[in-house]
Amino acid sequence: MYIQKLKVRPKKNPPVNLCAPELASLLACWAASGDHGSTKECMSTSQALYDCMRTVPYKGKQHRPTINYHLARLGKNLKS
Amino acid sequence: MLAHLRAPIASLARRHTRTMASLPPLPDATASDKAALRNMSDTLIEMLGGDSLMPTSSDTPSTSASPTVTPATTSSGVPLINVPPAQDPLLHYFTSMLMKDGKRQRAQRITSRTLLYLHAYTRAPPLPILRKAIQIASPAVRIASSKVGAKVISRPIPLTEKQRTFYAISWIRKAAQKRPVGRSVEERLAKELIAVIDGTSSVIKNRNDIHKLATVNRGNAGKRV
Repeated sequence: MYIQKLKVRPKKNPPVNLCAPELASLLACWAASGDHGSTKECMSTSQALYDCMRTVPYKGKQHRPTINYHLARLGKNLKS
Repeated sequence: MLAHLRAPIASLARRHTRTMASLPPLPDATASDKAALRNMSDTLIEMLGGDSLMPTSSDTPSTSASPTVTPATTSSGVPLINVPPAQDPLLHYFTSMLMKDGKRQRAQRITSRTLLYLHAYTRAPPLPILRKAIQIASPAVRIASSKVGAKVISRPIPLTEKQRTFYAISWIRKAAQKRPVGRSVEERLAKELIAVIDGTSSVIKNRNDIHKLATVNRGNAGKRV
């Protein structure tokens, strides 16, 4: 079997979501209480988000998947 | 770096980066910070063969009049070393945001006079007031808008401490510029900071608008753009 141009449509990189659960809980707290200043009900939730953002490492720009490079390189090794 | 030092130092660095606090926490540090510091100092002690990290009293003769400061110690009795920064990081950042064309001395003068005006208006220590005002004014998230097909979707994204301070100081500065003409920059800034704490500033409306937008669009939070 010979495929002249062996390539796939790879999945895109997943989005960078830092502190997703803390953010979700804070937004839910704001929606429920209306305490947008985070002074009364949402104080501890907002502090949790701030602590998370202070410590979690930033991922930076993700490299695109290199599957097609490898397929092009190894395509000639396919048994016909 | 030596392998058995890397883990405690890495955990320390993780805890102490990206913060605008003025001094590294020492007596009221969190349990995990204390554990990380203790871990690191114990590792260093092992490496140095059990010697103390601080100079012994025989090396530095002290007079009877000088006050003796007992440094904080770990559970194993080793003193912790804590080197504070040269200038308060928040004040340095505040000055940087006021600076134009690289004129830091002028910006530093504005910052000092703002603190003086704060003290004059409130008869209280000015730095906690500045810190509190910036805390109140900081938003927790920003809204990133992007087009998916024809629709514009807005996603809330959390902000780091420095980003939050940037927005807070930026809004305070712009609101202070809008105050009545004829007064100095320092006086306008001081009045604006006091208004933020009182709750009468437009900066609070800015922050609440962003938070309300975030609440409305909270379904888009983790979406792929």
